[in-house]
Amino acid sequence: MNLAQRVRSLIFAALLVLASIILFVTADLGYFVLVIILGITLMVAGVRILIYYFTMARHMVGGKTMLYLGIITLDIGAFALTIVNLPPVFIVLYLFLSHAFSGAVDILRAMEAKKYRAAHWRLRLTHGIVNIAVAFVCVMLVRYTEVVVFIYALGLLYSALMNVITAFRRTSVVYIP
Amino acid sequence: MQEDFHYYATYCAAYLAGFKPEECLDICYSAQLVDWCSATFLSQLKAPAAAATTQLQMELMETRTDTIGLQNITRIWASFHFLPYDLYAKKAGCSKGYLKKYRLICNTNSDLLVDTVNLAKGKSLQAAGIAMHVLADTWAHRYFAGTPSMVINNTNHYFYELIPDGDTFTERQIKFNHNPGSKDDCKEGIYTNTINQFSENSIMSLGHGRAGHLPDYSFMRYKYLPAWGEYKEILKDNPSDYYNAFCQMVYALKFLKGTNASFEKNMYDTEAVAGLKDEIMAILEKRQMDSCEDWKALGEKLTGVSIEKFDMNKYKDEYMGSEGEEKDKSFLGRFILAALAQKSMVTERIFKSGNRLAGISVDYSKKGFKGIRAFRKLVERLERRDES
Repeated sequence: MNLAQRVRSLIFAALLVLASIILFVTADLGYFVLVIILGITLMVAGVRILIYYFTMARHMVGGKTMLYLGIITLDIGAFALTIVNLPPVFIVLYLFLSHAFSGAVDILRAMEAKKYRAAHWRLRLTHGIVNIAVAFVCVMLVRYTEVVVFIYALGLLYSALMNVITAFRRTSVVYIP
Repeated sequence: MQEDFHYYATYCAAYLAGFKPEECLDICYSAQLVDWCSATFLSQLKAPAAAATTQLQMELMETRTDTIGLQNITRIWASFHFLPYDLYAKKAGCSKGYLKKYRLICNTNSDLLVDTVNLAKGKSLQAAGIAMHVLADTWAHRYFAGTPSMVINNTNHYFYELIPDGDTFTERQIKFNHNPGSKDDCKEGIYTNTINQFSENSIMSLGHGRAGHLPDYSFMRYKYLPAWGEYKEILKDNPSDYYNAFCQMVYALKFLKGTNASFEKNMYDTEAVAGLKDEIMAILEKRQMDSCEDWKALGEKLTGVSIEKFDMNKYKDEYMGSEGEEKDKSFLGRFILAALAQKSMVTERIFKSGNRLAGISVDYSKKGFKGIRAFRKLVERLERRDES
């Protein structure tokens, strides 16, 4: 990573921390804020896909699909922002799927690591079990919107932490001519 | 390519190049280990993860495709399995981002292949084995890039197998499924490939994942539309490519042994292989998923020595039981040093071309040691040489 990429990673981490603080502070309005964050995220993703199409995918066989995907994503993001009372079940479903998938991957990875007698498999397994547990907590506490908002905010903090760690990692490779 | 070619065929090539049977075994073991030396395997040995030459499916699934994750993936797959052909390739009307990926497309007889074989010259048998893996894979994996990229590695429904039918070929459209647990069926023409995730950096678009294992089967002939090819069809003739790979390995190994004075592009030792051509082509064209038994029989016929099965744990105890410098002199220690050197060299060439997809390279002679600590082993090796 060069300096600009490290700085970008730190700025993104700061934004994630800020978003999670807003969610913690405005727990009663948290749901509304959360929908706005998701809507904006989708719109940004749509714009990025369109940029991707014009700079890269237009050279690809079947690349037009990315043009349509960008327009649809942008549209869904704009649509999400117009809905004030998005049913909580959608947010819970999103959280459930993301945590359940990560958990399943962690557990499979731990099993594979154990098979090869590699170190740290227990840590991976714990990570997977915690993720699965969080997924089920989201479903069980669907009525308590504040708790779901807190879980989402914690997820943002975790992403921020990963970005900070990434920014300070050694990445270059020495070459001896 | 699979164990049949990387292990048993490499054994045969080494013998034809003049190595003794026990040396052939070390070379082919190292060539095959490239497909097994993952970060998980290295953590089991308490060896540096930076020396990984491959990634397990699960390792890939949990890899973050951020800048660092992508650089790590590219360093591994471009250095050992998809050696880039032309790091300065041009294509009109393309963005810089597109060109960086386009320039990592693997093909045969590249400048980097010459650098790879030269890097192994005068080094260990393990280094020779790694170089043979890289060389052979340039034939099997040509037209794909060792970095996740949908715009380069994607394929679509236009995928046909060409099945020999007398003097001609019958075309059959290939059916792909995405279940990693299902086995390929060459009789019915049903193969497994990765699913398209419509994301440029998805690991599903790494290397030939979207074409399944087709490039790895020696009997396979097929035509398809590569994502980067502007709708121009590519015809891949694996039996012919694999035969060229075999002849080029013999030529390269003769150079590494000292029989040939230099290693040059587009040179194949067809003379040394001539007497075996029919036998080799018969193995390569036989419609089977695994040719290990046939290649093994040929190797044993050539040397008169039984070839043991590949066992990835064979040298584990020797490595773990040694300390300090002795560790680096063990079989796996030498393999790890050779792997680090190859990765460092390829990363430097890619970085020098203005492409940072494999990461940043630091010239030790100008800036001293910086970066990932595991590569300090290369400096230690240099210091030991200076002392002696």
